[in-house]
Amino acid sequence: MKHLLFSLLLVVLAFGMVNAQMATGVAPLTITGAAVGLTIEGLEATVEGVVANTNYSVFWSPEEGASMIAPVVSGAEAASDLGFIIACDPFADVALSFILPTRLLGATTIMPINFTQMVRTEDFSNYNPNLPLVINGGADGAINLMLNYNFTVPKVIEGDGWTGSVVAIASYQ
Amino acid sequence: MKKIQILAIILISAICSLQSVGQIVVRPNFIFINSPEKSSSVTVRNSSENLVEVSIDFKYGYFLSDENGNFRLETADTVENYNKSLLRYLRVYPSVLTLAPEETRTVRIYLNITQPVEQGEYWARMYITPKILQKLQVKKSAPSIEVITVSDIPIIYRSGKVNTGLVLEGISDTQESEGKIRFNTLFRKTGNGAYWGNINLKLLDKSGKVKGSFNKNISVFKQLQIPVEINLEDKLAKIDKIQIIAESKRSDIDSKKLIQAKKEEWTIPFKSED
Repeated sequence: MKHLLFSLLLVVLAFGMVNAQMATGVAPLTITGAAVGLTIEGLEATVEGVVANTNYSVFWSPEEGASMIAPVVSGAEAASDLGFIIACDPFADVALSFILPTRLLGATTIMPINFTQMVRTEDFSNYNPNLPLVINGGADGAINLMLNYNFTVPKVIEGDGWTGSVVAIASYQ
Repeated sequence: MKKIQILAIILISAICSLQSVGQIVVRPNFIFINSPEKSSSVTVRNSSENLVEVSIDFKYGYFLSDENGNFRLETADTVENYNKSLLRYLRVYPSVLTLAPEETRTVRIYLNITQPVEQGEYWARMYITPKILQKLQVKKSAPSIEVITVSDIPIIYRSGKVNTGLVLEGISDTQESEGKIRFNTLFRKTGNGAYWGNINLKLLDKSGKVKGSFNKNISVFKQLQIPVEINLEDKLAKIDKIQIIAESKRSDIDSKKLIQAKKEEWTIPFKSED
């Protein structure tokens, strides 16, 4: 039984290694001079516990390693990360541009929103998401970006929910 | 026995967290078509765990930089020489596809060229947009923001004889502080094709020893200003000159696909601050 479990463990470990390589698009020893596929994944955000007629800021905190919301009025406020996980060739320059909403639409009301800053979580460097930019992937070929934004909750919020889209366009430079 | 079981659980959990990092993976990242060829293809893989609808669109555009070295994609709305556009000839099949998790499909690109086109290069950008076929859940009394990611692939078509070259227009805004040297380089391409290659910059002292270097892949469609920042290996090093070498080869593109231009080398005198 012990032997069987140990064998299972080795199989699982081998599968994990293959899976990890597939996930990062690395084909060992077979590709020379070919680029790793540029991948960009979006992290969608939901903010909860907001109070009517209040201005909120959501910002990614290096100390917490997560997005935080301020001010805390109801005590139930919480925001998930809004950002992008980019995988690229080591040291590749990735050109990025964004289409950002200026308001989130609800069934009966709108919620003004503006995007102030974008934080790279690897080195905490800041970028302006309102301008196109080029970021180097570094040795790991990883660029994780989190958006900071402000929004104003309408005076009447009963039963309404608001949505908007952030578009990120990525290419090798 | 118990330890092995715990280890197995930890490993399985770790593997589960090693899932795909992107919604779709597109290959190749650059498309070059040389006449008389009229077609090419890309593969699109859904690396997510969701059913994804992928739509494909084309735009005319190319990278340019402003006077501050900020990159921007010039599009049809703003460009003067719209005759470089490949848009009028481009066809794609399929233009919309649905991919199951881990499914890969090939997308064909055709150029509908029925009469010879003027010699030179024609450019376009291919925008590949995945959409998860599961609507963002709208929560009551809460804002929700969805994210749409777009892969942007340049398409270059070369008709007839195409040549290119690179000219260094100059170096400006040189600054030296805290063991770093910063400056802007301005390059301009020559010929009727864009310049794709690599630049290698070296900071040399009086004896010719390298005290810092900078390497970058570039694509110059018209002109390109590149801000350079080089850390000195020895903070007290006195730099005497900057050497720049440009070659039409890149680590991420097969050299056979690039127009081979003359290797260029420039040496610019530099005087370190005392």
